[in-house]
Amino acid sequence: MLKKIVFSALFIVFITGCTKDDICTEETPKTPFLIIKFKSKVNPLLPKEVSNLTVTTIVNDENIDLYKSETIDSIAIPLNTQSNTTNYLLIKGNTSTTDGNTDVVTFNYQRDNIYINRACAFKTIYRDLLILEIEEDNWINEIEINNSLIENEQNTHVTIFH
Amino acid sequence: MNKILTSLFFIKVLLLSCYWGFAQEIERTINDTITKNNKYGLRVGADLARPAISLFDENFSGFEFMVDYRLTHRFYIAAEYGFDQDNQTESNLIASTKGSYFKIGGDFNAYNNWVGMNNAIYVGLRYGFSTFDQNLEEYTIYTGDSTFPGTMVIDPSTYKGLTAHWAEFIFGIKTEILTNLFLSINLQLKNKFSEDVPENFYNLYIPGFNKTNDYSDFGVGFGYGISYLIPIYKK
Repeated sequence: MLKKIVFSALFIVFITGCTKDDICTEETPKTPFLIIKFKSKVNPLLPKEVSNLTVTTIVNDENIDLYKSETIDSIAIPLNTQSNTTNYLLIKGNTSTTDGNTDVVTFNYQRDNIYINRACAFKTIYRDLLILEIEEDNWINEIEINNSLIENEQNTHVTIFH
Repeated sequence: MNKILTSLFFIKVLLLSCYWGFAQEIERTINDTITKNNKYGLRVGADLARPAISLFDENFSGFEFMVDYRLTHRFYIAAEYGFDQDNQTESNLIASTKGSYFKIGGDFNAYNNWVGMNNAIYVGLRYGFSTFDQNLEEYTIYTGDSTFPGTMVIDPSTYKGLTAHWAEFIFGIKTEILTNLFLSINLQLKNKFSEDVPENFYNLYIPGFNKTNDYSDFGVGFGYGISYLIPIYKK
């Protein structure tokens, strides 16, 4: 009996000795992206693709394209975890031959850093989302915030009508 | 004839070593004159592993005192008191823990000693309690994205007066290397059942419990102790 207890205890010691919590795995929920859906301004219930959409942000004076000339009805874009503002250029009809129509959209928010685990450390969630649109000649008709709290990627946060 | 009797006795002792009670009975009936050879007393000591690790590992320093008192032939009450300081330098965060702990319980010696010897192969149980402070120094935001890669955030925060409770199973060996001086080595398996988890953080290390695990309440440890027996009476 005693031997059994001792051996099972030693066994557990060796098993737990190799811990899996030293590696941050891909499946771990990370800082969420902002989910944007595009819908028709004529029929607000209908998803509507944006033709040749290019999504660009400027980081350290460098243009980064998250989407390049894609015809899609939804996008997922990251927000800056070091600032309460992220600017995006949403360019419609951007192809190799035409520049397209550029709308500048500014996302303002508050940030909270949330502990995940030992290996992954922290993630950021965003709250109190506010959106500003600067451009005059807009292809975007209206922007609606569906969820001003961005803590996961399960729901749509923003709907853009065009 | 005598020789045969003696060897028969040894064979019996070996065969019946699991049934220690029975074996002991034989011992007593045959050796009437040596019944007062078991020392009872208070054994005090310190853990050698923690100061040794403190020397080599700049991220750890600790010390532990240990004491046990022999109650019966096989049962001892035992307690440990210690303090730990541990820095956790993980790939994505830097934190530190500082605090003290107290463990109390008992040991059961499963080893049948030869006459006049005081060695032990023992199992023990402890209740462990720790009070400690945690410091979070800096951490990385996990974005999983190259547009805004995770950056180190230096945001020191202190969580004071945390406590944790755990149960512990110990398996160890004690050897008398000189009269009344013992060396011991043991393995500890711990299971925490209660702790103060800091808000928006976690107890990465608990003094006495050692490193925690994100996915279970188990902890492991070992000890390498030296102790001195203050004999009080013989039985």
